[in-house]
Amino acid sequence: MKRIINKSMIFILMLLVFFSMSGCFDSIEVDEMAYVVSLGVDKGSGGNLILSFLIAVPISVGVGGEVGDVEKSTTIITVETPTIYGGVSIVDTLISKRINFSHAKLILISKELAQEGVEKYINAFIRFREFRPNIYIGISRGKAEEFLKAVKPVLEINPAKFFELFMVSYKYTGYSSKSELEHFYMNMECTCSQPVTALLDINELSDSSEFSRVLSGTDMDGKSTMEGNYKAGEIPIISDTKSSNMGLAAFRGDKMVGEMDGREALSYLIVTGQLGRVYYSLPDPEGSETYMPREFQGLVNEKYYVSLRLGMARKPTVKVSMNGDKPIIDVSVFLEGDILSIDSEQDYSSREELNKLERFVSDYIRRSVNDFLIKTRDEFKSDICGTGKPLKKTYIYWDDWMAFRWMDKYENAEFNVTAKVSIRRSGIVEKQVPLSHMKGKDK
Amino acid sequence: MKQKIKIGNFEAFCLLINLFCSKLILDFPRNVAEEAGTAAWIMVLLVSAAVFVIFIIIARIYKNFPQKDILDVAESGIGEAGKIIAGMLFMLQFLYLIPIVLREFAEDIKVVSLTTTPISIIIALFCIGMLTGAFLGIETLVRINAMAVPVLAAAFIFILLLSIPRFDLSKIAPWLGPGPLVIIKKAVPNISAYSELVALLFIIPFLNEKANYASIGKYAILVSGSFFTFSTLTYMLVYQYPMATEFFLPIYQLARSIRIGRFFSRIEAIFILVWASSAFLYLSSGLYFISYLFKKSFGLKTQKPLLIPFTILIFSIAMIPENLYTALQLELSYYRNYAWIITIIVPLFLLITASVRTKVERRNISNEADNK
Amino acid sequence: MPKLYRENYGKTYKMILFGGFSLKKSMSQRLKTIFLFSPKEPKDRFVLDGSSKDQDNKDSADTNDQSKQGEEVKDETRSGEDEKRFNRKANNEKRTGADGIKQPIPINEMNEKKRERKVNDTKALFIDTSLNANLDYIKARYNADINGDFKIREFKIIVMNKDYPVFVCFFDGMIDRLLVNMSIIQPLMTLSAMPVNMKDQTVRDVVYNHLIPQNQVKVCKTYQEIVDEVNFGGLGIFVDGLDVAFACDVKGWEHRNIEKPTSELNIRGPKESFNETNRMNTALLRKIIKDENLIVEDVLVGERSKTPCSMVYIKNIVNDSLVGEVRRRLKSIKTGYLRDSGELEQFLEDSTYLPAPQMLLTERPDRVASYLGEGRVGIIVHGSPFVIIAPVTLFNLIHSPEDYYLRYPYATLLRFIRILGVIFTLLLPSLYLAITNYHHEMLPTDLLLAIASAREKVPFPTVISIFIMEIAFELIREAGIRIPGPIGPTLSIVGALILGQAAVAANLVSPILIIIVAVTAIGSFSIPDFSLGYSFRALRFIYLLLAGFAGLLGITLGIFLHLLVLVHAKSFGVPFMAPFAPRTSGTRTNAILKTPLWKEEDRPDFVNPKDIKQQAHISRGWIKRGEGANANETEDKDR
Repeated sequence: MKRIINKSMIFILMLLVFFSMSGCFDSIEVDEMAYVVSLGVDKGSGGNLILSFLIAVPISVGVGGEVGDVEKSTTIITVETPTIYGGVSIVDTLISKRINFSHAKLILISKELAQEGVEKYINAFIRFREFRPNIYIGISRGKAEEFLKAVKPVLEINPAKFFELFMVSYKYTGYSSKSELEHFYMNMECTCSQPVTALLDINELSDSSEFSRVLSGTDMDGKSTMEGNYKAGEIPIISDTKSSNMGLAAFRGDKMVGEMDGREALSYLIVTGQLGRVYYSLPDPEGSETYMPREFQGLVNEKYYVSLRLGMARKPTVKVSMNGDKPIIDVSVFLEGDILSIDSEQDYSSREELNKLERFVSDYIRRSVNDFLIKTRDEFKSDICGTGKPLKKTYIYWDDWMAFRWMDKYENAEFNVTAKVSIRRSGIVEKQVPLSHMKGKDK
Repeated sequence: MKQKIKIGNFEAFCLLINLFCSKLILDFPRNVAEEAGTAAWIMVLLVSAAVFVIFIIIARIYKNFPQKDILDVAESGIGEAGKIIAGMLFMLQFLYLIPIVLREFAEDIKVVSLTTTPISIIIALFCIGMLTGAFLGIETLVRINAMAVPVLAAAFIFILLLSIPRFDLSKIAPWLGPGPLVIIKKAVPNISAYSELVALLFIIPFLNEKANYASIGKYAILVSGSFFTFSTLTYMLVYQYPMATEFFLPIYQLARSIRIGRFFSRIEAIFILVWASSAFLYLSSGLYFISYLFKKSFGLKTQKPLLIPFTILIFSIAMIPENLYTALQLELSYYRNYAWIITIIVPLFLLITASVRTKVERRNISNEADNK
Repeated sequence: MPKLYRENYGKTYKMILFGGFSLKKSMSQRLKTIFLFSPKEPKDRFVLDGSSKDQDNKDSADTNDQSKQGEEVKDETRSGEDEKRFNRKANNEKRTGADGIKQPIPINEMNEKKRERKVNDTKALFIDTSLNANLDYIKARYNADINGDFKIREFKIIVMNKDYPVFVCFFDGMIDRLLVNMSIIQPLMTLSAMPVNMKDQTVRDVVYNHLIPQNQVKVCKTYQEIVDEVNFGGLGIFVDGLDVAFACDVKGWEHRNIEKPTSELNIRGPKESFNETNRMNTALLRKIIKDENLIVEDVLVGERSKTPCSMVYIKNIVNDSLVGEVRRRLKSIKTGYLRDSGELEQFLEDSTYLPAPQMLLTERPDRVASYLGEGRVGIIVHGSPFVIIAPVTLFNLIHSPEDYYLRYPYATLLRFIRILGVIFTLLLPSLYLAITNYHHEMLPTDLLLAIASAREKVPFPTVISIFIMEIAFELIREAGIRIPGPIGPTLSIVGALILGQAAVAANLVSPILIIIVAVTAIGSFSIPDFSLGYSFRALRFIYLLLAGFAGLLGITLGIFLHLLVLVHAKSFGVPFMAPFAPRTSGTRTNAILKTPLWKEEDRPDFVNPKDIKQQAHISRGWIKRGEGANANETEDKDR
C-alpha cells in the first residue's frame, strides 16, 4: 500500500512538474484576440504597402438577446509597412488584443498593386497557417482602404457573415466568380489556366439624378444596356451599403491585365461551368417575322425584354485541336432556362414559338460567349477559362507539355462556340392572355 | 500459467495498415509527387505491386519455417551470430526511423496547432503515449489498433471523399509525367514505403491458430496500396503537379480547404485527431518492436525494463535534428533510399540462406542414414 | 432429510466443520509456509480457451458426483472429510493443470486454512447428551442474560410415555412467531402424546419423523451448526438425551416487499426488482428461468457477518472455468463484515485502479436472467438489492434492459443516443476548452464572435470557469442525493439559480459555458450504468486538464491512454473491450448496434459458453412458407 501511495505521489508530482513546465504555451482565450475580417492591401509610398485591417468588434456583435450595434461592429486600422507581417506586429502594438487571421474572410488588393504583380503577397498568405485556403480574394478598383471603410453591413450585424455571403452572390447573380485564395493560387501556378478574381468597388452615387454618369456600358449591340453591363462602382444604384461586387479582374500570371463587366463574368461562368441559377434578361425577339440572327439588331423591339432564370443543363465541353500553331477551341454550352417574364404580347407557349425563342436565346448567348472569349484572347492574352486543360490531357510526358508553351499559343486561338438553350418551364403561368385580346377582335 | 499472446488476423492486419499508412499523413504524397510528377500515383501503384510480388515470394519461402519469426530463421540459417546481427540490423533501422517520425509528427503538430509550445514538450507528450502503449504489450497494442484503425481509416476516407468536388482530371495530365524509365527508377527506393512489412515477420509466433500471416500480409499490402494510391491520386487531382510539391502536409492541406457550405468548412480538426492517434499507435508499436528485437536478439527474459531507456534514447535522438528540413532530409534522402535493403532484401536473404541450409542438412542426414 | 435446506447451506457448513481434521496432519508443512517466505500469489489469469475447458468439465462433473454421494451419507463424518479431501485434490489437479508443475498453494487458500484452524475449537464442539449442559452452553454462548432478543423456551415432550425435557432457542423478531407456536411448539407438546406406532424407533427418529412438521429441518451435531442456524433466523430444538439438535427454518423477519426498480427505470418490460432477501431474490430468478439447470450455489462471505451469497448460473450454458474462477475468488475473500454487493464487487474485481467497473450491478431480475442465459454468472448478496453480474464488457454497461424490449429501430437509435451521451460526458467540456483556447479557427465565425462577446466581461480563463461550473454541478448532484426529502426542492431552486442565471449575471461564466455544462450533465445521466457514469464523470476532469494543457493533442493523448487501459483490462478473464478488441469471431451481436431479435442467434462468444447457439437459425418458424403451419400442428399434437 505504501508503495502504491509513493508511486502515485511520484506520478502526480511528475505530472505537475510537466504541466507547470509547459504552462499552456499556446493557450489563448477567444477574447484575447482581435479577429481580422478583411485585410486590404494598397500601394504605399516608396515600395511600401498600406495595410487596412477590418477588425470585428465582438461586443457590438452581441450575444443572445442583446442586439448588437451595427455601426460599431467593425473598426478599421490602417498602417504603412514594408511587409505584411511587419504591419501586423505594428498594429499589435496599437491595439490591446492580438491580431488573428483565422477568421479573415476577404483579402482585398488594390488594382494599382495587382497590375504590378501579386505573387509575393499571395505566397505570403498561402504560407501562413492562419489564412484559410478558402479565404476570398478580391481586386478593388479604387483604394482597398476606401472600400473597407465603405463596407457597412445593413442586413447583418456580423461583418464576417457579410463577406461570406457577399462574395458568393455570384451563385445567383452570375456577375462574379469563385474567387478564393487557394483557387487563385492554383490557377496562378497552373500551366493551362489563368486566375481571375472578383472585382470590387465603392458606389459613390447618392442621388438617382447622378445615374446618367455611370451608364457607360453597353450590350454587344452597342446600343442597349442590359442589367449586367456594369463593373463594380459604376452601377446605377443607391444604398446604405456602398460596397459592390460586380465583374471580374483577369490575370496573366500574377499580373492583372483587365476587367470584365457582369455580363462577361456570366460568360466566364458559362464557359467554366460554374453558372448557378441566375436571372437573365435579353431583348424580346417578337416582331421579327423571319428569324435571322445576324441581321437581328435592327429588328429587335427594344422596349420589350424576355427574362429567364438561366442555369447549366450540362457541363460545357471544351475541345482543342491544333491547326499548325493555331489552337482551335470548340466550346459548346448547353443551358436551360425557365421563363420569368415576357414583356411583349407574343405567346411562346406553342412548340414552334418556343423553338424560336430558344434559338434566339441560344444565339444571343453564343454571341456573348464568343465576344467574351475573343476579349480574353485579344485584350487579356490570358487563358482565364482554362481551355488548355483538354489539350494537356492529350500529352503523355511532362517535358513535352512544358515545351509546348500553351500560354503563348493561346494568343492565336480561334473559337467555335456553339450554344444550346432549352426552355423547360414557364413559371406558374403556362400561357399569357394579352390585354389586347380583352378589347375584342374585329371579325 | 503465463498467458500466451494471441493475435488474430484482423488485429495484425490493422497493425500493419497503421504502420504503413501513417506516413500518408506525413509527407508521403508530396514526396512521390516530387519524384514522379503527375505520374506519382502510377509509381505508387507500381511500388505496391512490386512489394506484393516480393511478399508472395517471402511468404512462399516462409512456409518452411512455421511459427518462427525472422530472427529464428536467421538463427537457423547463420547461427546465433546471425540472429544477433539480423536483430540489431532491424532494431537499428527502427531506432533510426522512430525518432525521425516522432520528430516529424511533433514538428507538424507544432506547425499547425501548437506554434509556441517548445518542441521538446510535444515530443515528450508523444513519448508518454508511446511508452504506455509499449508497456502494455503487443497484445493490447494490436487490439487497440483493431479498434482504432477502422475509425481512423473511415475518417481519412471521409476527407478524401469530401475532396471529390474539387477533382480535375487535367491536373494529373500529362499522364506519364517524367516518363516510364524515371518512374521505375524512382520506384525502387520507394519500396521503403513498405519497410514496416518486416514487423509482420516479428509477430508470426504470436499469431493465433486461425491467423495466416501470408494472407494478412497480402491484404495489408493490397489495402494500404490502395490507400497510398487513392490518397496520392486525390491529392494530385486537387493540386496539380508543380504546386503539389509545395505543401509539406498534403492531406492536412486537403482537409483544410474542404468547404461545403458556410458551416461545414473547418474539418481539419478531425484530421488532427486522426493524425495524433495514428502517431501514437505507430510510435508505440515501433517502441515495442525496438525493445522486442533487443530482447529477442540477446535472449533476454523480459523487455519491460528496456522500455524507459529506449524511450529516453528515442527522445534524445529526436531532438538531434536542428530543424524541420534536416529531419525531413534524414528521412527522405537516407532512410527512404536505403531502408528497403534492410527491410525487404535482408529478410529475403535470411530466408534463402536458412532454407538452403536446412535442405543441405536434411540431405546430409538422409545421406548419413543411407550410408549407415 | 429436507432436500432444499441441505442443498443450500449444508455443504458449506460441513466444509467449515470438518475442515480442521485433515489439516492437523500437515501442521509442520503449514508452519513452514507460515515462517518461510511465501511466494507471491500468481495472479491466476484464467484463459477461456478450448484446451482447459475439457479438463475443467471433467473436474466439475467429478465433484458433482462426489457431492451426490455426500448427500447420501450425510450424517457420517468420515465421508464428509473424504469429500473435502477430494475437493482439494481436484483443486490441486486443476492448479497443476496444463504445465504439469506443482505450484505453491496460493496465499489466500493458506489463509483460509489458518482461519479454519483458529475457530476450530468452537466449531468442533459436539452437542452434549445432557440437556442442562447444552442449555448452559447455549446460554453462555449467547450471553442469554444480557441478550434481550435471545429467547429460550423450556418444556417437555412425551415420547413412548416418557418425559423428555426440551428447550427451543431463537431470536425474537427473526422468526415467524405464529409458525413457531403452531407448527413447532404445539406439535411437540401435543402430538407427542398421540398414540403412534413408535416401536423400534429411537427418540431421535420419533422427534424427527413425527414431531416436527416442518419442511426444513436440519439435524446438527455441533453447536456451531445450530448457532449458525439460529443466528440466521432459525430455531434450535434440543432434546434431553440426544447428541443432536434440530434446527428448523422459521425465518420470519420483516423485510421490504418487491417494488419497482429505483435506479434502472424502464417503460416497457417487467417492473420487479430485487430486494434485500437472498431467497426472495433467487426465487425471482427461478420465476423467470424455469430450468433445473439454474444452479444457486451458496457461499458464505464474511467471518462475522457470514453473509450468505449465492452464485447463480445455468449449468449447461456457462463455461466451467468461469464458474470455477468466480467460486475461487468468492471463497478466498477474508473479511469481517460484508454488507452489500458493492463491497463484494470491490473484493472481486480484477483491477482496483481501472477507471471503469468490471462487473455489472443490477436490481432487475429480468436483466440477470438474460445475462445468465448468455452464459454469465450472477452473484446475489444477502442484504443487497443489487445482483452482481460477471463477466461484462464495456458495451454491456452502456446497454439498458429496455433495449431488448423495444423494437429494433428504436433500440438502435437509443444506443446511438447513449453513446453520444458518453462522448458528451467525457469530451464535451474538454473539446470546448481545446477549441476556444487552441483551435479558434474551428469555430464558425458567428459562434466565435458570440463567445468572444460573452467572454468579454468574464474575469476567469475558460479552464477555471469550466472547473467552477463542473464542480458546482457535482456539488449539486451530490447534495441532491444526500439531501433529506423535504428540503429537496430548496436545493433544486438554489442549484438552478447557481448554475443558471446567477453565474451568468455575475459575469462568472459565459452563457455558452452553461450550455456546455448542462449538456455534459444530461449526457452523464444517459449512461445506464451508475458506476460507469461515475467513472466517466471523474475522467472528464482529467480530459479537461489535458485539453487545457495541449488542446486537441492532449485530448487525443487522453483518448489513447484511456483506450489502452480499457483494452488491457479484463473482467474475469474476458477482455473488457470485446468484441471489438480483440475482435472475436462469430457474429458481433449487440455490442454497439442492436441486432434484430431473431438475428441474435449466438451467445457472445467471448464468454465461451458451452452452447454457443442461443436460438435456431430460423427462429421464426412462420417465415418458411408451409412449415409454419406444420410447426403449429406439431405443437397442437404436443398439447
